[in-house]
Amino acid sequence: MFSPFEYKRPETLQEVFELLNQDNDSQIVAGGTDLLVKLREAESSPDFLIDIKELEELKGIEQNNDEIKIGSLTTITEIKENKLIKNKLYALYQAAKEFGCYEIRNRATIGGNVVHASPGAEFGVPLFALEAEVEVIGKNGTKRLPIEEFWYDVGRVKLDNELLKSIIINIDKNVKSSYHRLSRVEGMDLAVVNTALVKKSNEKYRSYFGTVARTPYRNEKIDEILGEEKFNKSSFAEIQDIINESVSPRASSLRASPEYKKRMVVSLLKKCLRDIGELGDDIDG
Amino acid sequence: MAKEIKTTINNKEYKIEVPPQMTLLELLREKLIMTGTKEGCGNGECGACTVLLNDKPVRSCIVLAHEIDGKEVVTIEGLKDTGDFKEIKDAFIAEDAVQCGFCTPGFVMAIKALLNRTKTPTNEEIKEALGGHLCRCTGYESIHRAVKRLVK
Repeated sequence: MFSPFEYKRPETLQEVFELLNQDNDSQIVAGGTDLLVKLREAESSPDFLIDIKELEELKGIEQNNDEIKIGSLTTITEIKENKLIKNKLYALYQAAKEFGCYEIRNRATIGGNVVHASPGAEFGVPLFALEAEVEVIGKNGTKRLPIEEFWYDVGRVKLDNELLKSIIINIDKNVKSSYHRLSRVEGMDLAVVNTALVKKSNEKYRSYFGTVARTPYRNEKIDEILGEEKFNKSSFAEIQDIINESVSPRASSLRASPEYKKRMVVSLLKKCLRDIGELGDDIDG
Repeated sequence: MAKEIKTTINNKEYKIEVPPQMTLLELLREKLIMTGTKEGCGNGECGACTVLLNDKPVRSCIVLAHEIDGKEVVTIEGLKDTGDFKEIKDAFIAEDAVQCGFCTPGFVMAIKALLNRTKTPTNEEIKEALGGHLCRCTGYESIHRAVKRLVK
């Protein structure tokens, strides 16, 4: 059993905001696959647990013109099985496929993965690379902001008595995308490192690397190299140098050493390039 | 504060008072004395505590008992009297897929859920369904073979 808390399951957003605005220590729970572990380890001990699972307005995947909107309560299974996601946002399909295991994917939500803002979060690097925006809802209405602004540090997102309502991605600007991760076992594990790559409609690239910095990491110099006419085998040495100089993953990680992580993100970048058909057969990886 | 929940467990209706911090696994094992569902890691990583919640397999150690209010749960005890259970049991015996047996109820629930989804799962689908379940004695091949036997 956990330390005592009260459990509330509001049926409307109005009720959620009333609960959030009361003067107490409350915690939102959706799938609970992260939070319940934290409660057990006493990393979190709220007075109130507000279960938002029943709120229909936070569920589902829809397309409006050139945008796909994913409700924050959409489960990982729903993302994995959605045709639109698989066709238009392949990196998100790949992330959903790698995520946890079958039972966890049935419960965990994309919103939960984002608001926990863990450095190796499955949806971190792909959503940053896709220039996703988030829709935040509070008692005074909704607002939209870029995910990089919303997710600003380890475990920190910009929410002030508000909820993450949805994640919005432009499908015209993001032509091709890929996600890869490395984990110790395939069945059920967290990422040791992960990488996402997006090719934009303007032929430019955006690559992001996970677990090498406090939030998903991008270096524009790498993306410039990827877009160069003369891009070839030796370009990876240049990219490796940039990674080596620009990131310093924490040495206390339980999963891998900083040196290993730095090598592996570049290796995963090759896999992403191969996925989107931009890596010659003469290049290993 | 304990509150009353209404739920159906193994086709039987229950009205039970449960404290908010109780997990579904604790409710099953400690309050209803259905000890077929096992607690392994307690963190949702090993799969030993898998039950079906509204037909979907979930980890009962990271589901709050209050969350099953108005919902339906099936545990290994609920499978016991069905034909499916006998078939799965016979396949496990035929392939020597049980040694200590601690992980078995979780595997059986995952396999039941898989066969509810499809009667002819591919190798990939079997691996996906069982991928989050840990077994420390027989290994996975015999369990995989047991599922293959059910598919034929």
